[in-house]
Amino acid sequence: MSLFRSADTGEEAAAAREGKPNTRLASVLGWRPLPVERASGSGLFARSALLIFFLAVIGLFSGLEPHTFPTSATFITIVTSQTAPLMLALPLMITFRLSDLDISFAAVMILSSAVGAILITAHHVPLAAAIPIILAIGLVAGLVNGCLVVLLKLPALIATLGTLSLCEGAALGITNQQVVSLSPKSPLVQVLSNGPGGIPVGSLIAWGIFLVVWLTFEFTPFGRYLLFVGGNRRAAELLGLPVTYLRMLAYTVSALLYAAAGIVLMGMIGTVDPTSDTSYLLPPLAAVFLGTTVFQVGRFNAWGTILAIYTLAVITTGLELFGLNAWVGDLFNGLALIAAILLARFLTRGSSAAELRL
Amino acid sequence: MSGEEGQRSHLARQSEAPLSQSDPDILLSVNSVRKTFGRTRVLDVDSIALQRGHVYGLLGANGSGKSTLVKILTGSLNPDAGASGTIGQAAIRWPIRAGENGFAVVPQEMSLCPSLTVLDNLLVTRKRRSGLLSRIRWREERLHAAELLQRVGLDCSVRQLVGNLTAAEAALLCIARAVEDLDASSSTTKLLILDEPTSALSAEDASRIFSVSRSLAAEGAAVVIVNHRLGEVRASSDEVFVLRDGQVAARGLLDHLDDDSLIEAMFGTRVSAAKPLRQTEGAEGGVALPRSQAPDDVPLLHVRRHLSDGGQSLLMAYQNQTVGVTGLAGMDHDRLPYQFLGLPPKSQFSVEIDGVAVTRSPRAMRAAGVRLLPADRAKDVFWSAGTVSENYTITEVSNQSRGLSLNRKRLRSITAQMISDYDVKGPGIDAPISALSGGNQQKVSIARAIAAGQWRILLAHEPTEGIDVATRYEILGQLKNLATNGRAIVIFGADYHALASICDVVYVFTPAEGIRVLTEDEISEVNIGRAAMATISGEDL
Repeated sequence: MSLFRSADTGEEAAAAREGKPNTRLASVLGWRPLPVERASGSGLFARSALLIFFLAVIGLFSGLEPHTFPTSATFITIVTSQTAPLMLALPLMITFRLSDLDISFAAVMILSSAVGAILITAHHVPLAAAIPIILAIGLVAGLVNGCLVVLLKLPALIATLGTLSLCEGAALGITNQQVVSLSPKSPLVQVLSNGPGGIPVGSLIAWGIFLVVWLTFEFTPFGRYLLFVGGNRRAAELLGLPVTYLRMLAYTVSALLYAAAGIVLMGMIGTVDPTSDTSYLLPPLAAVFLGTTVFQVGRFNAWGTILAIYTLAVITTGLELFGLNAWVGDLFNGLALIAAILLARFLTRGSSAAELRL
Repeated sequence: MSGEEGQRSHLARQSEAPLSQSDPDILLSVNSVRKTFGRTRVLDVDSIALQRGHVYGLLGANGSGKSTLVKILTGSLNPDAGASGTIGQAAIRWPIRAGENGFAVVPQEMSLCPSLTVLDNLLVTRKRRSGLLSRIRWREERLHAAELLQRVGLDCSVRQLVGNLTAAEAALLCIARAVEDLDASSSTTKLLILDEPTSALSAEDASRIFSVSRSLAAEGAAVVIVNHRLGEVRASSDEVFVLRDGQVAARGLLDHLDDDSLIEAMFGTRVSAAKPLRQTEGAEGGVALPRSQAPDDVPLLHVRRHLSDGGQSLLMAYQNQTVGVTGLAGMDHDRLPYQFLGLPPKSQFSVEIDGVAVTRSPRAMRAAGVRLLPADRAKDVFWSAGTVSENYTITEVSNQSRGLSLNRKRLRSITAQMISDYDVKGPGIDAPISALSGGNQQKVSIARAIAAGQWRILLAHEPTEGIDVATRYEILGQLKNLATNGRAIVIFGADYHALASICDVVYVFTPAEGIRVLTEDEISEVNIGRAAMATISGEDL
């Protein structure tokens, strides 16, 4: 006798009888029912703890600052300020899902936007020509990372730390260590920093990329291959999956998207600060790890990441409303990163989920 | 010692354990040592006694309880309640504290650091006994180490990198380290256990190790050597213990036990009128063909080794055949299925399918219809955090998607279908694969290996390893049934019983005599054991 329930029929009916949430919706969201053998602490409550926390924090700040916090201005500020971190965190998950590591992301973004800004301001290159060049920089950075880590089999942390520093130095050199400002009349700034209802088009682009990443992760063979190769690279090789190709593709596509983030960042702020890459390093990292504690626990997942980005942003914004200094943000992001991996470890304890082995 | 004396003391030990406690020659005696994992009793030993100055051979097939016994004697496992015994004159308190009692073990997996020097590797265990910041007197240490190397007959500089040593030198270094441990112990009871120290060594190198163990025994220690090779056991030991299914199946002076009775004790059936084993004709001739096949048939799978003086057939599989490939540990036959797919270590051979050479890469082999069933399911087969469905359908996802989009419903239903076809028991298709028992994981692994696309040859490496008895027969039956419709199954492994029960041809890789081929009625567990083991006779050493 098989103990497996017939997956397509029995499960939903049983869930409906027991008053459980609709598993089909949950499953589409990637919010899978956890296997029974996992520790009891990681029930539905534990898996949605971050969502509950997010709502609670919004409620708390709204109660404390009813006139300044729950306003559309705060909403737009948070969405605008989190556009670049979100656009970095989403592609970051591609390499992380493969158990590959890429920490050059913020530097690649800043280098590509610095090159773009110099081309547009100093060399008066038309936008239509500048954008492909900017994306090409991302492509090259991704290929370099891929060659070093995948083909030459160097340790990813050290190799991408090297490219991080290379990009940083190149950005400083190109801009002569100066902040480069685009003309406010530049079409890039005009298009990206405005939008319907005050939400900048740049943020809408970020949400579009979010949707694409989510659909790719959950609904394409590519998404499955990422998880399988990341979960057991040797098994994937023995099965004949194109492991090298997939890893190269991941490094290249993600770096291309970092460059796209650079374009959006440049357009939304209107300036490029070549020294700003470090401030974009930790928030995306903290978010992708915090995202593993919710929905698909133990996996880098798109909904978890976007929720984590906005949770961290709500907290830092709220703290700033209380007049706390900006350094609190750094402190907080560091804490959040450590808390995130601790929580993920706690939620996956007792199971063999060892996906956070970066 | 004369045979008569040996027989007497042997009898005394077996029947009257209390007597042996007062015998000053007895170094270690244990009684009622049992070990149960879950519901399986892996060790059930009534009594074993070891005398000073003796070298013992410990024999047994895979899974007979040898390593469990070694672990209990060296304190890394506790026996079940009820075990008793003495070390020297003192009663044993479990777990045995190996260090305090002067016990040392040289494990099968050598724990050496190849990037450090011989001296550094010796110091690691030596300095265990002193404080973290105690001063190292390098000059003294070098002299001490050189002396130690001389004692075990290892002729190399203490400054040499361990990575540059040969396998035999590395084995001797491990023994030197154990000897140093024995020396350092103030205990009067000294026991050295060598766990298959020679499996990777030539006969000549092995004899160096045996002479070291002889001289240690002459100094009053007892030595236990776990070994598979009968010839080596005869050359190295005075007495032997044979374990089978956790019990002592035979013991005694080697002079009183012939090879057949040892093999019988290991595998359980009487060797009746041992049939002559068919043998290869050497490098040029290639292996003999199975009788049932016409010699001009093109085999489905043909593996040739490239040698400087031409090629040599390594193995062949014909349509509808189940072929076994085996040998003792160290023969590297179990690396073959991975090497077929082009994985390291690099090797000089070619794989032909239907007479056509195929590139040795996982993708090319898969395209040619070759599928692999690896032994290590956690390492080589599954993404352990993934669900049953995600693991099973990974080879299907590109077939079962429309354009870019996955047909998730279809993936779940083919998993459900597989679950019922293969009678897989477990908590559900959305449970992580690691929640399934070994046997059920193996069923999913087999199902995945032959799913998606056309396959012709299944290379199964130790398909019964880590699988409970009930599922074992199911799996063997499934494999046997797969060798139909012009397909072939090749099983690589050391489970002689499994090979004997389903194989049509068994290739036995031997160190001394090349490849032996057993066919049809020659195939039995005992014959496979004979072919694999009785290859280095005592006179060779």
